Amino acid sequence: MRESTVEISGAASRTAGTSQELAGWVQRADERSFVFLHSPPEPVAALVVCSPVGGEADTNRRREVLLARTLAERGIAVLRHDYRGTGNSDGEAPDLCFESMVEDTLAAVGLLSDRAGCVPAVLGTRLGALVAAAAVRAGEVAGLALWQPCRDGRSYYRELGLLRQMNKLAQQANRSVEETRSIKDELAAAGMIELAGYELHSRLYDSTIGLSLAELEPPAATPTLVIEFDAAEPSGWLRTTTERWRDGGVDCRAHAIPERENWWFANDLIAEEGRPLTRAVIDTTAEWLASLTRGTAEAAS
Amino acid sequence: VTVVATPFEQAFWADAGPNRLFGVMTLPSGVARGVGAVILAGGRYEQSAGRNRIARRLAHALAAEGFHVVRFDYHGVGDSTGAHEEFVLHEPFTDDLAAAASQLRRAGVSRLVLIGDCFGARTALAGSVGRDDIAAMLLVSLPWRDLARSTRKADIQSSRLSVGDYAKRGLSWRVVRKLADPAARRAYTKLVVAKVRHMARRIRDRLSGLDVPPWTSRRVIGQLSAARARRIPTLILYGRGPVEEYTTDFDELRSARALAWLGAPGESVQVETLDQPIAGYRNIVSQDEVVAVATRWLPQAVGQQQEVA
Repeated sequence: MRESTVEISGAASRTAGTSQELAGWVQRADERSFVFLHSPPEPVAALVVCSPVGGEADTNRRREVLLARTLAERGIAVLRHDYRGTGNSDGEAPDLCFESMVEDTLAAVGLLSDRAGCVPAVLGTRLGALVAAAAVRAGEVAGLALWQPCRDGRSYYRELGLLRQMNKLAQQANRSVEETRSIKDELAAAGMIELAGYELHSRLYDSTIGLSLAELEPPAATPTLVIEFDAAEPSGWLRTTTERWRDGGVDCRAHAIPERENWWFANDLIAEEGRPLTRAVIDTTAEWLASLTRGTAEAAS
Repeated sequence: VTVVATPFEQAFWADAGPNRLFGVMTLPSGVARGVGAVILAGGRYEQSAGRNRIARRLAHALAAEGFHVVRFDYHGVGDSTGAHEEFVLHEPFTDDLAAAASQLRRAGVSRLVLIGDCFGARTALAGSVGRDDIAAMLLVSLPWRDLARSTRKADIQSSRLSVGDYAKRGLSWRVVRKLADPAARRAYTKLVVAKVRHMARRIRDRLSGLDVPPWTSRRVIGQLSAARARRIPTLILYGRGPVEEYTTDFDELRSARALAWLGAPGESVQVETLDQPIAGYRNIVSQDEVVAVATRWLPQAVGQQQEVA
């Protein structure tokens, strides 16, 4: 890995096999973003990870770490980062919005390009998939991978609304279904709602409700992998989206994994290491990234 | 949500046996007290910032009170190395706690406060035994049972059902019909084993004159008694709600003569119950309450302990 002009402060590093893992903060204007860099000695490719938010981020976290360690062993540098207002980054939850998430991702792409000496691909999960897709349209990247992407803002918040009802029901002594207002109405009234102990603020909602993955089409020829969970084969909307992208010249593959993820309530029970879903999604992504690397090497020779 | 000025933070790796733990140390943003705080997460696979960043908020609030604070990923969780199959309440990660405490020692603190919820409370309590640097403990949703996640339901259910309930349910057509299903058979076996264990223990306790419910962890009684004997200020925090199983357990325990000292005036071990659900920090109001209690009670408890010393 190369020296970078971007300083990572409060950092700690360790050696993991032949790779280095470095965690710390990057100063951006008056806030710091938390970054975690997995660096093989001579990177052949690179990947920036865009996490989901809320409970989904906690559920996906270990899987992202295991992916990063697997890729680093294969010579692929990985940068994971917390959006400002989430995780260990500065900023507060009310300030989190789609635009700041894309900005943070583009900054992470710049940092990793600088460190690894190659243009990274971007991986996004759930709401992070929309962020990754937007980042690919805004900056130079080598590819786009999506894990269980949100179809659009509306269906995402509809799901969250149902989960919220379930959670409320579990917390009520009389287990009765109370009449609740929609997420939209509650956010308009209070500016914030709660979902299983996580905050959702109106700024994030307003900035993502109108988004649709289909409309965030990557530039032509961008290698793209979409992995859908809990499906024997890619679902109808995903097939339509990827076909539309292919028509636009995107080098797009859709893949389905039958195992299910319980995004908001799974992290209580199961260690990721032994899960078939985790193994499958990591292997598929690693193979896809390796195929990109082979393609680049063949083109160069 | 309480927002305080962002203090300086330093990432770290700490050795815990064969594992390397990832964590973040928050430095005091006020006058340093020379006291470190270790935040111990519950038995969940969450990141070091905690659910809805409660560990980060707690760290920043305590840093403003002059504490050095560490939060970290247990081995097998988040960015730490290692692996484990599940969280077992009576096998707390005391090596992980010791590694985090060493990190604080290296930063120059001489005494420690431990803040843990659920599995983290058990780790704090077990880890406090044999240490002479514990200034106070805040134990959130302290579980009084020895169990693993996989046997939790059976253990709790068996203690809520009488032998008569067992017989009535065991002979019902619904249960008999399900016996053909191996998964159901395994679940019923767990229930029966838990009940037999509780009954055997009840008989032993009657013979020895101990009047606690049979599911009560002897380890917890021993460790809390040790903290009491050493006059370590300890606050146990519970919440109210339909899924607050550990509060229900504690309510049942309170009537035991053997534990009459728990929360008694003048005792170093006190108990508070919040009106909201608190288990797993699944409620933002209770997250804020825990931060408020910690920033109110810990500085006071540390001061008290210093006077006693």
